[in-house]
Amino acid sequence: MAEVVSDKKIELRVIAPTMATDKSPYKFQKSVDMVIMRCTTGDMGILPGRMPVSAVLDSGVLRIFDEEASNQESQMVVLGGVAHVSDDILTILSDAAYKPDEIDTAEVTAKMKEYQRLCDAASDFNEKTAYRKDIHRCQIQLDVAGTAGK
Amino acid sequence: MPSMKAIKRRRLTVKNISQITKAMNLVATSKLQRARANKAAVGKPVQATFDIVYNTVGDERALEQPFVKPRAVKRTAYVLITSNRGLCGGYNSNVCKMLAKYVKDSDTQPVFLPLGNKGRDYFLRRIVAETRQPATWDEEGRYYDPSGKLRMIDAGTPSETPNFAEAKKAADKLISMYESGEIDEVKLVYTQFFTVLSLEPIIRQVLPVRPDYLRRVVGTDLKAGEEWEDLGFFPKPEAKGGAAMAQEVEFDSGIAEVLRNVVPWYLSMYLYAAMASSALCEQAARMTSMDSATKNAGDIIEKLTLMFNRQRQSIITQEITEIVSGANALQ
Repeated sequence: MAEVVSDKKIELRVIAPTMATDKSPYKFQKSVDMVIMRCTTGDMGILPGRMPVSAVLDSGVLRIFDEEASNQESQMVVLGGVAHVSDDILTILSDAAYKPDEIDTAEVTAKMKEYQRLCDAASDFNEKTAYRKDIHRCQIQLDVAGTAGK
Repeated sequence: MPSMKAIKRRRLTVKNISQITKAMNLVATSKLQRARANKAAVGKPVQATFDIVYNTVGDERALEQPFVKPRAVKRTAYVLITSNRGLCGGYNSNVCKMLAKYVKDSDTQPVFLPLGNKGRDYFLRRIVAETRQPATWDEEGRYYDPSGKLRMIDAGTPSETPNFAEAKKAADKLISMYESGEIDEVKLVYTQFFTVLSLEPIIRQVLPVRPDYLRRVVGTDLKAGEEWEDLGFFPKPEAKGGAAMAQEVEFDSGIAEVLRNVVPWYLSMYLYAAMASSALCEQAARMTSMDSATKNAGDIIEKLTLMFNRQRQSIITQEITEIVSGANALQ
């Protein structure tokens, strides 16, 4: 478990345009102590006071640590997008970001099976790679939903 | 003078039409509220996207990158946002006419990407009238005229309420065409909402991204003499000033890669917001035009009633006169 010592907070804003309403423009918004996100270059941890950074996100789990919630790690699935940090605000733009309780495991499992079938049937290398990526995305969602359910 | 029967029939027709326009007015009023909420919801995501893009392209290293570096413009893509249906006053024709005039005065070859049937039909008719050849679309939904020039790209018929997936689809198409050099510039043509009675068609440059223009749009660190440009999506932000302005941004996977991901987002969000703005304008225009149509129908009904009563009165008077003169003749 990551130990957080700073009393400053970082504001996490996850923007998914399809989810925005006039009452809550953000998909997720919270002041937290630390965020670890999966970027294309590897995992990146963001703490308060971080110098401005822009990063491209890979499909992965967004790990959120909050001292007020007994430093309990909460998770979100972010399937690609862009992240930007400045002035202690971490903005994540992604049109595919899900909280664990939003993941329909039955639907994702069915999709995963379908991708697996298509992947086995595909002969083209690029096509296979694309399906493998889709399978990986489904797997991430199932992992996060499974962890939350335990 | 039409007969009494004809006047009665006409009055009934106008009355029926006025009932339709009144219903349409009520529907548009309720849809207007929803469209207003949709547009308000887009505000924050758009502002955050613009902030990120500005922070990225504001860096000196970005100036040599493909989506920022200006190039010689041969073909300009115009994304035209209109409605699918009519009966909304001058909403569609205002934006189409303005674009037609703009294109006429422009030196570059226009390529239209219409989002909305009315705009597509308007420019398709004009191109067909100019080339005197029926429009033929290739498999990828592109229309080349007989001389081989690309004239229009089909992006399908968008739904009535703005949809991010549709905006993203159109944006992805534009990005791939921009990267392959098929188009050198992208301009967005839509209607900006000020008030229900004040709707203004506008043209805005989207690609290549201009850092100076974005600075004015974002409005957090304006230079002396610069004014904030209101796109109508979000309220004027507070100026950051001082140290915040001088902060240099680190690019985790290199500026090229970040831009490659940020710019399509920017284009999608801009399109999405413009679609939300136009959808609001459509409902506002429909509401006001249907309101005035209902009022006009009421005026016509009043006139026809007056005409009908006059005729009835004249017939009665004539009959009385005939009876009186007949009675007088018998005496």
